Amino acid sequence: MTSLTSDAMLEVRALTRTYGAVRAVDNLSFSMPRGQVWGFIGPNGAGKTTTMRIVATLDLPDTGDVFIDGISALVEPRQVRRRVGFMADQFAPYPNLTVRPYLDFFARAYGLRGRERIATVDSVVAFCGLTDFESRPTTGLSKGMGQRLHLAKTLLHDPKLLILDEPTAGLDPRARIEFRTLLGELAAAGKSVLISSHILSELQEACDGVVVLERGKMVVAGSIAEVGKGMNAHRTVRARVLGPADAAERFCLTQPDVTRVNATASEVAFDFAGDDEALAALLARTLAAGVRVVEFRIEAASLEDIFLQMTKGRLQ
Amino acid sequence: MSDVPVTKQPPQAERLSRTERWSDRVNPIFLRELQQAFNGKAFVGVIFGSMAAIFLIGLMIALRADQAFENGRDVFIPVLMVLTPVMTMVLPMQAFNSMQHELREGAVDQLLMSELSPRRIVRGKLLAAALLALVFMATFAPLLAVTYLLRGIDVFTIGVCLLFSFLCALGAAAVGMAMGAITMIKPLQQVARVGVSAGLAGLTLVVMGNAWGIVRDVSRLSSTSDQQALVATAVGIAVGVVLMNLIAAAVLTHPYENRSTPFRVFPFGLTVVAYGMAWWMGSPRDVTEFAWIWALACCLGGLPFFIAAVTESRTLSPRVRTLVPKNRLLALLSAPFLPGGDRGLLFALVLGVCVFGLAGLMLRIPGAPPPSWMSRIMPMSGMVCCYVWIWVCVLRGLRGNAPGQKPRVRAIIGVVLLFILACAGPAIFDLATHGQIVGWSWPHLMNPFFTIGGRIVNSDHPEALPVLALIALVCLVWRLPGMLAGVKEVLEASRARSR
Repeated sequence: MTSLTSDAMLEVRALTRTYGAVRAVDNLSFSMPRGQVWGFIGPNGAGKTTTMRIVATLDLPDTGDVFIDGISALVEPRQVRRRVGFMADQFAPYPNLTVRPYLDFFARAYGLRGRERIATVDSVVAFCGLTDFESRPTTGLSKGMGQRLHLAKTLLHDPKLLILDEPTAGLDPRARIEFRTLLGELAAAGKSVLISSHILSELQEACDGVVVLERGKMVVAGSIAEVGKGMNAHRTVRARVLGPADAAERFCLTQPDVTRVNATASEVAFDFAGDDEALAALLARTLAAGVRVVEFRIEAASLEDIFLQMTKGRLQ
Repeated sequence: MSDVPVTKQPPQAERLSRTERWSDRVNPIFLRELQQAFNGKAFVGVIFGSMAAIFLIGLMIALRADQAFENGRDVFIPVLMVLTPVMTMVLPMQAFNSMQHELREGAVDQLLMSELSPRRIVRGKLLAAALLALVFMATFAPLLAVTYLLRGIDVFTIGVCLLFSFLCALGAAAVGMAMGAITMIKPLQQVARVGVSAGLAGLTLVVMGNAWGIVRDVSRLSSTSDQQALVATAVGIAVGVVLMNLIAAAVLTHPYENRSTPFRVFPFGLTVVAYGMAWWMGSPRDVTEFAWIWALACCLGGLPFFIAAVTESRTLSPRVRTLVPKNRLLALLSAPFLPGGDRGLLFALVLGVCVFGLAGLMLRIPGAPPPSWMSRIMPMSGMVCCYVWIWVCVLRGLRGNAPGQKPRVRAIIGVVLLFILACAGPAIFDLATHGQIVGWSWPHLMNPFFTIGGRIVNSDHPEALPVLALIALVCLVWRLPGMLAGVKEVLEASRARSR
């Protein structure tokens, strides 16, 4: 079986890759829908880069397979390469070459010809904000600009799936924000993106879903909402009240399923173990008790919460 | 978001310049290498250095004008000596560094993700080296014209010397690239750099030191009709370039794609070229002698190829399966050249059969009776062949059963230890029991140095060769099921593809 029809842009099936005695990836399976941005997180040595390299056809698993747009990366790597853009964690500039010829070279390498090549290079240069840097040597770029160039090169052949391995590592906060903006624009343009990063707050804002790995094994995968929901029986609830929050705090402490109550001047936050039905009843009781609630919301689990709760920090 | 490269912009109606349209047909690596070279300091340095040399040589001519300085050869040789380091040192080192840079920091991964094949990458680099060589040579064109005008040297000599400078540059660049590619294997990085630097420096010094002699010999050839040697050398260099490119492309190939075939085709290609050259340049008797020496050289020189081939893993990777010919006969013929340890053993067997078969056929050439020394070289080749086959079979056996991690390394270490044991064990036993090594006896059979030495030098123990041949045959029978399984796997892959 070399291809399958599926709605998944990326489907990883029972992937295993060993290096000697180390199982870098261990029976990993997940699927990522089209047009979404997924975060790929895990401690160092969790197998993220190995998996990404296998998806990008640059490595071969011992067992299992990867399907991109329904095509097997094992059997038809050339077909897959046309659909995948891989941004490795290291940017390799060429000496004595400026930005524009660098991109022009890769555009030619990807088989772009004539007017199409020129237009595509113009387009990625503009998109990645490299217009003012076209005549700079590639070896003389700052880390942030280097990453932009790296991304520009990855976009040249218009891939359907982008694999970004630690694209923001080593960038300053401004460059990170700019990179995140680029990512948002790519997602808006319908690209599927699998991105690994250690900066979870960054992924939180950009990602629709997440795959958490530890010691080569998948800990959890799915949309952030689903994963957050399934992660813990407790949900954090925040209520903003009129007047001092002390009364609301005292009231909450008397309620069933409520733990870890914290109050500030006008807000009370607590962990709630009940279901939605019980939460609605709690809200009704709170209002009946005379607490003037102006905002009552469940706080979504952050990626950091998911990561800390799901992984144990084991390294290999 | 209209400027996001998600949808490629349609070609506009306006026409591209001729240069742009032409450049679309050119190898992208070639263009990039030229851009890098022309922007680099080395290029500027060489051009300015050459200009300075031209100026100095010109000055020399002017200063000696009063001494009736009219021999163009006296000027041509200094030109050649200046040109030589550029062609045999600067250019090849540039090719080496360029290839090494390609393999550093994952740059090659980015290239292999594109439409560029390893062969195209290597070809592009070689073409760039060729063009740069021509540019460097063109720098000296005015001075070369002066050498002719000064007389004492003919156009043929100038042309041939320049042609060989160019070919040497190309050959050295090809070697540089192949060595640069080999640096992908980490333990060989420093060895390759030192080896290439030393080799190129040696070549440069040899050519510079013999410039007078070379020009004189070429000049002499122009007056004779015997120019076969020149053509043969040119063809030899050209073929060497092709083979070196094959090696470089094979190393660049992704590890999980077919990297083995070029290495396995290489000895066969070399054999064809070597026979062609021997046939062209020598008499039938020379060819017969050559055939047996070549068979011996293949056994010894082929060892690295055999070790690499038989220590590969057993099965075809899914990617290589897609490359197996659909035609059953072609698949069968391609089996020894496809990756896999057992097929590697088959490759060694087929190569051995071919070179020894050819050597045997050469004995039947009319008018080519084997000279007296053939009675020594033939058994020697046979014995070496048997030893190589036996130890390669043992290596394959160990590789197949090696436990734990790094089975390839364990198998190689294992076979080396066994070899040492086979050589030293009987000697130690002799020393322990008799206080000295008491000459050759059967326990020393697996010691090739002792056995071949005794057989060839002293014509002792002639029965060793048949016994060795028998052991080789036993090894063949031992490994035959594995080899057949290797062929069967290829045929199954072929059947699966044609389905």
